[in-house]
Amino acid sequence: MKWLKRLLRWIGKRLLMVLLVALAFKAAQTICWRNQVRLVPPPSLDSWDPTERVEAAWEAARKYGGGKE
Amino acid sequence: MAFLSRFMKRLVSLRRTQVALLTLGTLAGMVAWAVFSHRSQPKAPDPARVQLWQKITPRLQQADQDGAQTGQRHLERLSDFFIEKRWYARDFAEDALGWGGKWAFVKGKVAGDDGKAHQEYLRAAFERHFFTGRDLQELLQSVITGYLTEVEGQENALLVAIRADLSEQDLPALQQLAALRSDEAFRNEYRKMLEQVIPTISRDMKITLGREAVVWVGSDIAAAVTVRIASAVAVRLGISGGILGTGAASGVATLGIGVVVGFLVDGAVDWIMQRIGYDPVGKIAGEVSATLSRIEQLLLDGDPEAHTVYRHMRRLQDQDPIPFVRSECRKAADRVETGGSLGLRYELNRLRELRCRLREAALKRLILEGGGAL
Repeated sequence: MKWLKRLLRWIGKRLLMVLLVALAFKAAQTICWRNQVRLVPPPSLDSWDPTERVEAAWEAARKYGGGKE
Repeated sequence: MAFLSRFMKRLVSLRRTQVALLTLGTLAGMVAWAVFSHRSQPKAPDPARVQLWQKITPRLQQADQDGAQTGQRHLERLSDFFIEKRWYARDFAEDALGWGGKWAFVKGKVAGDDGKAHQEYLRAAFERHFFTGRDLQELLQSVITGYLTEVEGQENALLVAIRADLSEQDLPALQQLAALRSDEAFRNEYRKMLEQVIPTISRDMKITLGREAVVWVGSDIAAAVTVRIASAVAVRLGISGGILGTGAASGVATLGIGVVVGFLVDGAVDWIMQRIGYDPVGKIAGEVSATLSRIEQLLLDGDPEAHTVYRHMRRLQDQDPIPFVRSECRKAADRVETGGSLGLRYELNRLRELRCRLREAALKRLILEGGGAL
């Protein structure tokens, strides 16, 4: 069973790394969207990423709905 | 599995009386459930009342259509206003290129005021030939108030007609209704019903409705809608202070920025250009005309992009696979809806639709249930 523990630990570490990278990416992306950095495309309502769809919806609300959240 | 086999063994080993009691208990539970379900179901309305409701339904549909036509007619007033103003575009251009305009331009250059005196001159010319912020605000308010007043009048006429329909019927339950004694009583009962159906309509339309939806004070609604639309149009035109109200002065000056640029170029060389067939007055008049059309379009139909995004969000609100996205899209779409970017036509249609839903629900309750609570 020792090998199973090692395997699980290995998988856990990789998952944690992926999670951290994804979090960092999303944070950077959100900062770019909020500051309207031109290099990063604006959030789209058609995106596969649900967080991007939500961000796009709120950006539209800020733009066309008076800017309050 | 072990639990299941233990349960089955126990069931088999039960005595006859125990089995009979168990069956009886189950049957009693089923009967109680059936009785409870039957009682909690809404009582079927009286067929005579249903027939009566069907009779007045065409009247409601007609009222809805009339409301739509009324809205269109009132919106045309706004279009007519802008059509009339476009006739003065050439006068404005001549004024801007006249001696006064040139003097303001030169004076600003000499004094080094960063073009402020010239912009002020153009602003005054704009207000003289076209409109001030207050003019536009008053026009918007008058269009909305006029529309709401007419819709209210149509609704009153509808109520009188419906009461007449109801009074003609030989229905004992309806004849006992105090609401049918006079038009005024019927209207009061209808208003009470309106208040009662607000929570249902709010839930159905997923919006928050206050008592003002019942009271329907035209001037209050008009003021709120005017502010919304004016702010949205000001933002779209890039006017920080707002084209209407207190920010009108700075607003119109900024509004004419394309004109100012055109004038700076044309004003200096117009006499040379006229020699070779160039028409600076026509060019400025064209620019001003285009600006007026843009203001008219933003006021009437709103921002096309806002409409596209709004529709998309409403679609996601219903169809997105993730509940969190659906709820956020709904909140964001609600915000856009109340932002004024969708234009006056949308606002009037929304008011009409809301009123129709309220009216239908209130009358349905009044006729099918005789004014009693559900």
